[in-house]
Amino acid sequence: MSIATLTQNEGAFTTKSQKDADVITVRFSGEVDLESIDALQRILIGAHEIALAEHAKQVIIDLTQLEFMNSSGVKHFVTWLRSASQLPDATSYKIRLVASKTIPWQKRSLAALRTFAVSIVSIVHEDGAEA
Amino acid sequence: MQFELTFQPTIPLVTVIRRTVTSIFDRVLGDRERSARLALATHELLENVVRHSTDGQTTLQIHSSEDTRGRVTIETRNKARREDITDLTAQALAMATADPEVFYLELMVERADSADDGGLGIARIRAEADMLVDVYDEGEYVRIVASMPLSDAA
Repeated sequence: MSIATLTQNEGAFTTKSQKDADVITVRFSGEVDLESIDALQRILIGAHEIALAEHAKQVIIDLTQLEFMNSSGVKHFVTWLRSASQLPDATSYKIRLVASKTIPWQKRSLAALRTFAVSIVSIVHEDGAEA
Repeated sequence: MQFELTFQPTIPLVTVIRRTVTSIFDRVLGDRERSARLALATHELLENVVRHSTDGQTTLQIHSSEDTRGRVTIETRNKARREDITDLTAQALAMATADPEVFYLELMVERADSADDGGLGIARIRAEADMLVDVYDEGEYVRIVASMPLSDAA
């Protein structure tokens, strides 16, 4: 699996990905609903597998252009964060969630998600300030 | 204000209605955070219908007036399978006596490894949108009502 597989452009949910040194970044746009939920699941599983295969130190998920995510999307994030938080130190990576200050649902959803992997997850706004 | 729509929700229509609800309540309430909470609830309730309605049909009602004691309510009513109605009423009953956030987080863990993507919607409405959620078993129909004050002062 390559970093390019984390870029997808189908329907209302699109992603762009890049890898710089040991940091994988995936930018989400649009919205996650019942139609795009499988795509979200593939992206999160893919990010996890690539991070492990390429010994990444950090995965950044940029949500600043994600207008909405349904509860099924929340569920897939929980699954991913729990998997990542259970990795041994040798393969562990940090996760940075970049939130928008102007999309209200993100504040509560991301705060809830962080509780599943407090030691590896940080939440920041687009200006870099801690959310 | 009263808004009622009887229709067959599809995934794209759910998004259209969520955006419409956001626009209406942005103007009515002048409170973007509160209108986003209503939009989240509307989306989750309608996706619930898409998943569980046995005939694809629902009635969506949104009320906000002094008649509703300064609250805004969002309601869906649709036919559903008996086991889905039983699950929803049981979840609402358990949620009513629990801390909403603790209940939501525990349910997230429970659902995390499930092959089924559903099951978090009404707990999310309760915890994230900070709305009360009531589920009514009406025989072959299920009616779900989410409500919140129109303002902090209400």
